[in-house]
Amino acid sequence: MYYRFTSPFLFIFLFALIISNSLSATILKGKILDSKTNEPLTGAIFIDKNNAGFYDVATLDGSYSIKKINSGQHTFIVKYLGYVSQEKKITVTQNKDVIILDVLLDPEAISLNQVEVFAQLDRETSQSARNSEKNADNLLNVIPAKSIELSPDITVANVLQRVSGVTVQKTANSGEGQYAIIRGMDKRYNYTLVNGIKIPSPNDKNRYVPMDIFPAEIISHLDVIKALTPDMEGDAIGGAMNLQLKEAPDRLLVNVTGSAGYNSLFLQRPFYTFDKSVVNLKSPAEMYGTNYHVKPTDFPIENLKFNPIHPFPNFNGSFSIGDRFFNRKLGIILSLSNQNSFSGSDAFVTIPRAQPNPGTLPAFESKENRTYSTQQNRLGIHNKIDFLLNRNNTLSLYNAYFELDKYISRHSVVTSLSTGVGNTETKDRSQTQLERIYNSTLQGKHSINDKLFVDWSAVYSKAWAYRPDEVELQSNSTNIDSPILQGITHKWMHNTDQDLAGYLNISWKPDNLFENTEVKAGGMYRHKNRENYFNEYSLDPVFVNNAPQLFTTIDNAKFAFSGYNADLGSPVNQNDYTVSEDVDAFYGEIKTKVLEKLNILAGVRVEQTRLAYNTPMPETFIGKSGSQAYMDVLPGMHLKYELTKKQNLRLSYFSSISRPGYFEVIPYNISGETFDEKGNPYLRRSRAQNIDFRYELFPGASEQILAGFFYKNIKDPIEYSLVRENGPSALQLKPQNFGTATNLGFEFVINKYFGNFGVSANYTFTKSSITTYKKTYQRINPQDQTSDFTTDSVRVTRPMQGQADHIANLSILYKNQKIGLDLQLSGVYTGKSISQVSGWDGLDYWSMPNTTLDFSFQKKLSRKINLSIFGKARNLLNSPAITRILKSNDYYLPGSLQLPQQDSPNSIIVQKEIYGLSFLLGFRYTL
Amino acid sequence: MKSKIISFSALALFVGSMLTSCTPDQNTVSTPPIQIGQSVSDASPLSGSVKGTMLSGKTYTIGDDVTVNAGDTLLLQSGVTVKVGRGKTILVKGVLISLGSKTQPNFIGPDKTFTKTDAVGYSSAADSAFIGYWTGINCEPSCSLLELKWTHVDYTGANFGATFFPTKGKAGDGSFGIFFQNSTGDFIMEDSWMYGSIDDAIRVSTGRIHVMRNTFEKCGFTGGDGLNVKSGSVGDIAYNLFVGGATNSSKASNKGGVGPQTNVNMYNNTYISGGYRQKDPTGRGGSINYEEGAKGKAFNNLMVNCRAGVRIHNNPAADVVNMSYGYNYTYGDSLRVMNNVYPVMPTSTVTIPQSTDIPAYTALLSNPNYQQAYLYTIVGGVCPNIVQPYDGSAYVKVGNPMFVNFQLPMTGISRLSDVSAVGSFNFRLQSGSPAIGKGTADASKIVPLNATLVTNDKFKPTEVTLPGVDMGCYQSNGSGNQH
Repeated sequence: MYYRFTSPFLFIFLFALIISNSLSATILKGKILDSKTNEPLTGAIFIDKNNAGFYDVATLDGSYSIKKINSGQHTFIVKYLGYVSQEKKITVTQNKDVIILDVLLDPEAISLNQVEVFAQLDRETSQSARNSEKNADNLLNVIPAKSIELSPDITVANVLQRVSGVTVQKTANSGEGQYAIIRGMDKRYNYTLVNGIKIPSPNDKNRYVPMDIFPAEIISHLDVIKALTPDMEGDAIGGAMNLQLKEAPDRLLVNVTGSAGYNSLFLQRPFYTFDKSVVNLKSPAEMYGTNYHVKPTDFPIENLKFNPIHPFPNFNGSFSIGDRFFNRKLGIILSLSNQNSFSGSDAFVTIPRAQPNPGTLPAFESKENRTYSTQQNRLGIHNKIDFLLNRNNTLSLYNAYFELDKYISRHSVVTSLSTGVGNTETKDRSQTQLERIYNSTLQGKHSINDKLFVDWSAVYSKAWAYRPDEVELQSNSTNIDSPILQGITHKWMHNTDQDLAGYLNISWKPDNLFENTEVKAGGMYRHKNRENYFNEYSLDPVFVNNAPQLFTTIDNAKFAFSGYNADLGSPVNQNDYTVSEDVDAFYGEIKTKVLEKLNILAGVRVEQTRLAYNTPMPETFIGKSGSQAYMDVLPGMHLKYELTKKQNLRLSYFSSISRPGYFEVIPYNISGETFDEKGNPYLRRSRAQNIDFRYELFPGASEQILAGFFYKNIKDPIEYSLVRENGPSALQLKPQNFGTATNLGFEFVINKYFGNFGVSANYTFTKSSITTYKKTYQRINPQDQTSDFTTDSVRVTRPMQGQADHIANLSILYKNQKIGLDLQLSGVYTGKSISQVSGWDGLDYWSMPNTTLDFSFQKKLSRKINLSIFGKARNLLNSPAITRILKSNDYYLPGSLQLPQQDSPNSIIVQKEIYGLSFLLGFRYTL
Repeated sequence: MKSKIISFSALALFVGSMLTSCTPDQNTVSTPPIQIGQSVSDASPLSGSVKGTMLSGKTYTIGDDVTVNAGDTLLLQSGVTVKVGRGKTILVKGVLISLGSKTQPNFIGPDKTFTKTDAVGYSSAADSAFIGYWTGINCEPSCSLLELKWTHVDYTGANFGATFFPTKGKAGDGSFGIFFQNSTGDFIMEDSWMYGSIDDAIRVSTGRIHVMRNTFEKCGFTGGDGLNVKSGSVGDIAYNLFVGGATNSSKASNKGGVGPQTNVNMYNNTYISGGYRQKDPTGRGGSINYEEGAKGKAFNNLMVNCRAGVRIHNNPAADVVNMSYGYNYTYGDSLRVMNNVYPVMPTSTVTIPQSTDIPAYTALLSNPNYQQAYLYTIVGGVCPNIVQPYDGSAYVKVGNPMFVNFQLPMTGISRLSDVSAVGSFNFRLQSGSPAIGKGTADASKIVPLNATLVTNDKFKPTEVTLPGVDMGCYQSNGSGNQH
């Protein structure tokens, strides 16, 4: 509680203190601007040629000011990387208080054709980001590396939440962001690119990629593309995220950072570890064959011993080196990033009963207090080699490897709210989750002549995930001193997803015939192989003297398999599966200027999908194997009207799809966190029509004001809903198509700088709706207490899963180039959204509005060497993540002993998680 | 009208007792054995789809999993033995009928002989009854009739293997002894035996049921019920003998949202030492259990040394306002048993003590905390006012029901849970038993629901035994359980 109230204010206070120093009168001032674009050149240096003490660095809006200049003649030098330096002579007279002098610098001429190669340094700045947004053919938000560096974020997932219209779903076990929801469209409706190439996911069920696997430091800029053009893959309805990795610089560049930090959670409680070394990557059936009868002693127990520790500090390190060789023709960059962190959460969770109480009232099986201790180790390695064969041909090869290892201990105390009310269960679970993504792309760009251009990519990618020996120890008791040992289940899951893909684009720019016209056509082909493995072993406690076994320690616990075959695990089941998918696509588009100020990009894309799956289930099993094939014709048109040089009006239309997850179409059947989970082989892809309208104003280089509307019509949206198909005791979570949904909204973005201050804010309003059947449970005639209970259905309209009505970001920046100080305070507000759709009327789980506040700073330590100290403080408000059912039950009113944490007679708090604050302090060195 | 019913049932009772107590004239006319379709060959082990008739006196081996396909019927004449291979399944998509008889019962069990280890106090961990040898009779929702008469179903509870399991199941899932799941289908089980299971011996997800005069022994290994019926189950559970069930012996719940509301009558059952083999004994019952929207009537049951008496669950609440019960007889050797006739924490209940129960807890009858107005108060679908602990010490070892061969108070054993099978015991009542004549046959209180809709005379329930005035499953007039 102490942190919660004091820390943000402390930071704001410091913030104010530091900046008040620089507010004083000036004598010589003005702006330093690009001579061609008039854009401010933040960071340009204005210095007295004869007295190095008199200097200033241009601020975010390009302004500088130098105080207390003596009267007389002065020569100032104005310089900026990539621009021709200028000398300015000024005569200062005694009676003049203020001299205003604006300087226009000319960019250095670039000798080679390949502008792209040499413009990279700029790409990491916010100027270039704004330029990209302004000049793009479609709707784009760009976050450059420099902004990421200065932001409080350390993973790409956390960076994403700063983008307008994006919310990030957090994991319950650490509070780290993981998946992005773009404009209210759930993670399934978005895809992830690395350097423009789609990558496979290590997720065991779905296509979407966990964004927390990417360390933020490795990227050059992050694009969120909200309107697809025909040359992009067409399976995003919310948007696409592109991680552009760092490219070889034009001179030797070495960048080293190192930082250490801590999470406040572990100042108050210990972190629980288990012995990871005993965890077998392979299940007994994989090690000894599927006919092997497993003995209870084949399972290690050391991963069920949880040791309280005070963890080492979190460590983040990154190293990057790049240079160009052979007359700048060969560029190489190698980047490496490693993050090791200890995080966790304290959570209150309720487990709903499969069937509500009569009147469709919320009913609960139990309540749990969970403490998570999560160690994460994140590794990113990236290497790019580009080679300019000659003026007209370049080749590049890049390799990227990402690894995220998670070791999660969960201690839960469960109190029954139904059968045996008040009894407690203690559960201790250890989980090892290893995820990897590898991507290798060979790319060529060729100018056949001055009108015809060709580029191609050959891609090999693979994603893996292992979840070996997930196991939970459980004991129950009416009397906490004599707990009774319960059964135990060991689970093994792993999957691989491998892509081979080729892309080819041909563009023709007949400049002499039609000005500003480009005709582009191309295609792609991808062959995917996915394999999934699942096995679980369930053991029961052995009865001792015909009485239940008391639990003392795991060393004394005795388990046995009950029933023949139980010791084989579940070696053959529908969760073991293979999928192959072939996607081929062709497109043609034309970009031209129809009127003087009207740009048009129009085209069509055709995508063909063929998916086949197979499971080792017996032939009698319905859905042992299956396939889906479909073709989509996806037209798109993007209009840009240049009101002025700095203002655009945009209107976009595009058609897109979202394919079901690979696992979702397998008739799988697994036990999930709360409910059993089940596949749906009859699932269809979602198809959407999207319209965007946007006004853009770019007052200055890093500045922008954007305002826009969007509307989406989605046929066959896919959502998870509870069904009951496997007998009465189990509700199952099953993906299903739900008619037609609509999604509309409004976005507003502003980035504005006032001298050393900057404000970056965005707000998105989203309203989606989807109509589905939900079940009710009550008496046939509710007035007649002797009438039978019955289960019925009603049609209910609600927002789509994950869609928050209001999303707002506000960052306040302070940038003093002269003293080399950057400060940033960033807040994110996310409105309420459905986190879990219930099959029952009125019992959806709602994620309640949440505000988070983060702070970061960076200070240059020396003018001679490029060394900075930086700090990041996250989750300053330590705001709990609260989930509610927006329906009450008189039995669980506030103050009820049954269900603590309640504060309202109109809703029920069903989940509440607290993640703690985390701090990071470190150094950055750039050569 | 009411008096008419009473007089009619009194007449029926009179006629009934006349029929059984007097020695009737013997007049037996043989009927041809019932045959459907072709006879099943016993020449080689069966596998794959089976249909037709298994002939009297023959032994059939199920070498691999078998299926009775939808539209097909498999009929067992009397005196048939079916030996099932280890881990194998009988899957019924059509109809399965086993017509054993008193003189020639049928056996469906392992293809291997186990020595029954029914000695009192035998270690359950070593007991062959809990071997879980095969995966039982699994009826798919398309099965319209499962009928077992005079049939033994033994040693079930294996996990499903890699190659064969019911729709929606998976390899590695545990099994029930009998699994029935058709709300418009009939499950008829008469005069049969269930011996040894790992989980529930019988699970009825939904269906019309008639379960009468059977014997259940050693049902559930470290948990599981003898007979567990869920939503859409309607019918009678009567005159059964349950010995040594792991958790509940007979349980009804309306969980599931399938078919009509669960409505099950449980009358004239005998429950011996139920509820002690629970690995999670923190809240469950030990004899009769109604929960989660189920309703029904429970009368004339005899409970001896069970972990808990009739349990009307408060949360998830049974359809308490539409429940009726009484005339239930409890005997307990220990104070713990007699303090749980109306179960108390951790087995939370709202069972109302009845003046007709034996023993009648007179102190509770006048206490407002044990009466309907208080216990049946419903808040948000839950009955928050549960039965609070009371003192049953006055009733310990009181009212010995005087079984023919089962000494009470139990002597020479260390735990009430040590009794889990009939063995050489005989749970019929001696003529001087205080449990005789204390029940009710009043049709205004309890009549069979007689819910099954089989029309073919050959396959109808042989007898829908009406409630009897002697407590438990054996009537002194010879009716009731025939084992």
